[in-house]
Amino acid sequence: MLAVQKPDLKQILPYLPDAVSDIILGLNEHQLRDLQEIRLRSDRPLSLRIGGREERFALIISTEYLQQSLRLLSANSFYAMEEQLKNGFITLAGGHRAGLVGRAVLKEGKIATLTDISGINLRLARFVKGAAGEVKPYLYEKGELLSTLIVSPPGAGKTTVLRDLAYCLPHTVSVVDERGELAGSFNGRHSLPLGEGVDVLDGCPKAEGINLLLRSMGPEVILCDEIGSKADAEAILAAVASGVKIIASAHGGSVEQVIDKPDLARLLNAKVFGRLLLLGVRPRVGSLQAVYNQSLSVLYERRDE
Amino acid sequence: MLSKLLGAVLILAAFALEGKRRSSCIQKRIKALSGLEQGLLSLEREIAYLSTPLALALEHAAVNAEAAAEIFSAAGRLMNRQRMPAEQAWREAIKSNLYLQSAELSALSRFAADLGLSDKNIQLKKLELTRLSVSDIRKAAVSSAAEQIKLLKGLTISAAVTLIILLF
Repeated sequence: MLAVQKPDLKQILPYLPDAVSDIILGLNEHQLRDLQEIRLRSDRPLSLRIGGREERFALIISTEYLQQSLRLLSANSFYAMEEQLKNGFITLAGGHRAGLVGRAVLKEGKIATLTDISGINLRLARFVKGAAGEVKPYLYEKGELLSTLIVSPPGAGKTTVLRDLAYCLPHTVSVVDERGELAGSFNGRHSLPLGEGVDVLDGCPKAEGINLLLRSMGPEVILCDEIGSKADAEAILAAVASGVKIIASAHGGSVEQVIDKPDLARLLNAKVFGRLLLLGVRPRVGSLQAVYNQSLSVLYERRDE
Repeated sequence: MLSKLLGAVLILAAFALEGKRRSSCIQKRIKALSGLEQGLLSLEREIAYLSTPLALALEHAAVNAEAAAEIFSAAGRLMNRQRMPAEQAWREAIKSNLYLQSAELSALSRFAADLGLSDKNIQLKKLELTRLSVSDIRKAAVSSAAEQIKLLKGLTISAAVTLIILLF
């Protein structure tokens, strides 16, 4: 049974122009419960992602609206967000995340900051108790927890499932929460519920975080979101070699797409993950679409009804 | 005769007081400019080294801004409590100091545009430019202050004496 937490409007509306707030306040209970993203694109209609579908409204987002939202998101202090802007997003109180696009300013080939912001995607963090209910039985084999890779396209519920696992796994769990999304960390406080045996390392790059937690916290399980780099792969290999289980997520719409990524393929070839779970948005966001074992043989596949 | 003498004394006293008030305004403007310079320098440091959010940085800067403290704290307060855009809050706040004149008000208004809404480099360059402008204005005000006060004293006494002669 899912207990979907409605997004806390008090945490979100202060970042939005009044005209956008009015539209959100006009949503019905179901729409509000399923609201995932608020997209503001310069000179384009307001777009809301509700239950996995993008809905467009008549309100055109002017440059002034975008500037106002940007000013509110950064608390008039865009300069203070430079470190976060290098990653293209700002983490907000409650674990919500504002993704930004505009003109990237490069320094030595890397993004130094973003200017001329032309789009904001406010992704709402929420705790869905029971979101991992469907996947949890597949995480164990003969009573033993398996390292698991959870794969889905963006917006299909990876983070929500990971968040519920951090809440319900009966192990000593450490979370590397690089973007403050899993625990809703903001200014050192976790605004989303976590299990009692959970430690959170907030704002730390995943590879460094995994190594740090291995040395310092003695975890049984390490949870992290959206792996994919070479450094992530090396840290995960080291952790698994130390006997720690890893539950991680990655972007992808199929196993083939995961294999196409060299660093993830390296982990799959090394048989690091005992399970690969594919999530999707049908019949609802976060639904399990398929389960694969270590050899990538199908254990379960959802059939369209 | 006594009433004429009393009238003359009153006219002299009134002109002397007005002269003192005007020379005090000159001194207070210099103090405000000096406070602004200190406050802007403090704001520069808050942004450069600590990336402190603007509203808080303004309140911190107010501690060092002495005679201009109210400008910085009012701007921070308006942004924090009334969710006012930084530009508007700063423009409102500079109105709170009655001793500032058009030269510095113009420099401070230019500084308000895009306040907080660009990257650190641009913010710091604008801050430095404004601080240097304020510094130049203060130096000019200091060098002309003694002469202005002396002139003011002479003029007020002359005006008072002229008025007494004309009246009596």
